[in-house]
Amino acid sequence: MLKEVGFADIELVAETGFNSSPVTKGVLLRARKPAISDIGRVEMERKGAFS
Amino acid sequence: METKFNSDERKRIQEGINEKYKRVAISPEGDFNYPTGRAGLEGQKYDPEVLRALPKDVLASYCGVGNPFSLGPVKKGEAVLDIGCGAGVDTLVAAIMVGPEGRVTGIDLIPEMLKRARTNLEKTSLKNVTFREGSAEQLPFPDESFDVVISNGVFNLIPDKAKALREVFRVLKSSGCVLLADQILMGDMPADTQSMVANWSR
Repeated sequence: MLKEVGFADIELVAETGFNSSPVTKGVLLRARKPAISDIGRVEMERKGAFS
Repeated sequence: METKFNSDERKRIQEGINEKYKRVAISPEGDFNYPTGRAGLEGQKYDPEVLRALPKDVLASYCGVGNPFSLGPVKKGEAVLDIGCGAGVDTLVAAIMVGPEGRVTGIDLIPEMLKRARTNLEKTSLKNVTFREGSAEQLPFPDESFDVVISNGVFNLIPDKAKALREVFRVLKSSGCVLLADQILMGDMPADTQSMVANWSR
């Protein structure tokens, strides 16, 4: 979802170890809004051009 | 794939959240499976020097699922938005980190939580903090207002997560970061929407 919105450098950095239910997991996530100079690259990634 | 809720379901979700977090505004202990209070902050390795700068009863009002500040630096002079700030402990931590030349805004939907946050702020000497009522799905800020957006245990409660993330993207400056501590669902969404709505904030 972060990727679809346009974020770049999306990382699931760690699990917190604290889960609110048996089907959920506590996590730490980081993402960056691309700089103007990154926008072409991020759009290509979003469209899967590099996969 | 995200579930789309109708207006009645959204209303019931919001009522459940309001009911729970009104209680949490008074005392967070016992309402969560995850850390609360000073012990919770220390367990998640919040900066001890920053914690020493905040009054004990401010720290006691903390509840969160992780430490968003462990994800990256919040620098002096930056503008930070704390979405779903609750009692405002992360907001105040950010305010200490950005220093007097920075500014931090905490938003929350629950008036009782905002009242607690403002009371907590009054117990400090911080002058660079604003609390206001607002929804993550419709952030009350102009485009590119913030260097960093933080959130702790809130996005799992938002009915329309994609809309909220688009709003985060909009209010972030170019190269700005979002630092999230949260709960994610492992596997598929439950098929029974009514049960999902009833258990949304539990």
